[in-house]
Amino acid sequence: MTLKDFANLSVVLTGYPLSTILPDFDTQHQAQELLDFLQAPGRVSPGTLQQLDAAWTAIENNSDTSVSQQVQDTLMGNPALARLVQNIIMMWYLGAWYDLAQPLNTKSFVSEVISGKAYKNGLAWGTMGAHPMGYSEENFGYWNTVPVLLQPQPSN
Amino acid sequence: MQKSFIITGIGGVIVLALLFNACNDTTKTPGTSNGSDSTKIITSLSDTLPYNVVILPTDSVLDTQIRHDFDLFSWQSFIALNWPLNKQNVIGQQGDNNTVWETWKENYQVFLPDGSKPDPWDAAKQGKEKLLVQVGKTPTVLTDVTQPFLTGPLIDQNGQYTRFQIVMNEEMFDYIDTNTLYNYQGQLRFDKTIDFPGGDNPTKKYGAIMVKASWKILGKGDDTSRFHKANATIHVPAIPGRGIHDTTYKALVGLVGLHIGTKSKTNPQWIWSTFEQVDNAPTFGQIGDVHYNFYNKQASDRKVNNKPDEPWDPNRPGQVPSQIVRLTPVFSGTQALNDFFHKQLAAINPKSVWQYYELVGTQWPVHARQLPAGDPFPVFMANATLESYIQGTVRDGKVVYTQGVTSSCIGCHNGATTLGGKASDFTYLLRTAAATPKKKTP
Repeated sequence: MTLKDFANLSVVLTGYPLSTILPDFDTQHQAQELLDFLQAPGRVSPGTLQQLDAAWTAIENNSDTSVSQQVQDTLMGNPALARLVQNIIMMWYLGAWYDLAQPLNTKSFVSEVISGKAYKNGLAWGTMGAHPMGYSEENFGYWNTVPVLLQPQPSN
Repeated sequence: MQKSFIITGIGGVIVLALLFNACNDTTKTPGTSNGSDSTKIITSLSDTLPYNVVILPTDSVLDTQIRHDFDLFSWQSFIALNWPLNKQNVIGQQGDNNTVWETWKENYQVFLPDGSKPDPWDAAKQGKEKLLVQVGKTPTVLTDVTQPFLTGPLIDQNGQYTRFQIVMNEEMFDYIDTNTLYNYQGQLRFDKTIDFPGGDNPTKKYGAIMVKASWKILGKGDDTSRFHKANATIHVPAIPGRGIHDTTYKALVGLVGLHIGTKSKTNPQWIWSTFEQVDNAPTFGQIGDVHYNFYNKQASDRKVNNKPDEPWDPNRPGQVPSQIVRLTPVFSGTQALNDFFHKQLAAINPKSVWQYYELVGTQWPVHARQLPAGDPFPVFMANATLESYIQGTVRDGKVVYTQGVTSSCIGCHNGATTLGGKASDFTYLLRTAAATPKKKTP
């Protein structure tokens, strides 16, 4: 999967615009880091990745149905891909990777932080107007004002 | 690999095109007598300080292009700030020269020990001897029990402590003076948001500018023809609790580092330009065959970028020099610009000291209006003399950066506050203000 394809897919999965996922002037290279992590040998089977790539290509080439509806039907509705797609969402929001072999609703699921940078850049923080422990780029005294939330945008 | 080559190639063409746009050609033409000058130097280098960075409409969002624009702004600022006071001369015409920024207000002239109102801007100190009192970028390196961000003194190869100074321009001084921010009580009373003026091209107004300089005492092994020099009075205030005696002596000092922080309308997180003398330190893994100011090739087994063991005492002889390397190489586009300006400076005078200074980098807020810190780029940036010990760490032979720990001008200064606990618009200087003494009741 190319970086552009991964970014476009991530836009639909996260609800954030491409300017957030893959900014023109990209200082953090977050999409590249997550894609590299996803495609690292041994993490996801090559067959599953190829299936995801093919499914996304088909979605992009089909203009008859909305992209979000197709993602719902052919990615989230596909047992072979649904869990992987959920993991991609969690990579973006939490900067963490969850063991694909375990269902997400167990209390003892296994996860790992992808990197300090990925954790810091997790979309969850901005979405809820917070920041990771020990790191904030807000101006001094921000806790005395109503937080400004990053706003996901609905895709078509 | 191929992609990056193409981008570099396009960037290189654009860089050259912009350079010719910005500077035209530089020539040195012996001409008719001009008063006391026997030679009229014609150069496209300018004594005019830029108000704000210029992003050309033709620029794409390629970071190499925009980075070039900011680096060009940095070099134009450096040239103008180091222009001789006698405007009949040009920079480096005499080899070395006095400079504009060295006539600006020192931090200790603005934030007085008794919190009183500083002298007006026009009480200029031109011609006065330089007084250096700081042994750290922050004024409290020797007196603080704990140091912020692992800072410590920088000791050169002759065992001498590096000295530091901070000055500000008239616009910054006026804002502090007008709003009585030079003392504790004034900062407490100030009920607005601290907002220094920002430089603006359309209205041709300058913004606040801070300059931080680092100086080494010139001595054994130093080639004085490669430094901007000054006769300075070195003063070490007494700290009895640490056994440090009050000491004052005169020394010839050479400029080794220069930070320029410029507030602009479109860059409210400021533009941060940093320059170094070219002999300061080798880049990690690239030890050259030169004499370094802060690296000893005969001691290459020593751990690099470690702050000196305490106790620190600038008066104590025989101290172990700092072993400094630059952990982040200068970006190739920045280096190309350095080469260009070095040629321009050498064309004015082959003995110009200014050709021995290089731009290490420019940090600016990429998304200035979207995020409080503005998404600074490059994410990490350090001057080997001013952020010697927080450039990153070396782990298993690789450089590792840590957000919130590794040096970032905007990242650090975003946390600056007044003594009243308000954000102070990216300067820590306000925290050095003192309280005015309470009036005694009769």
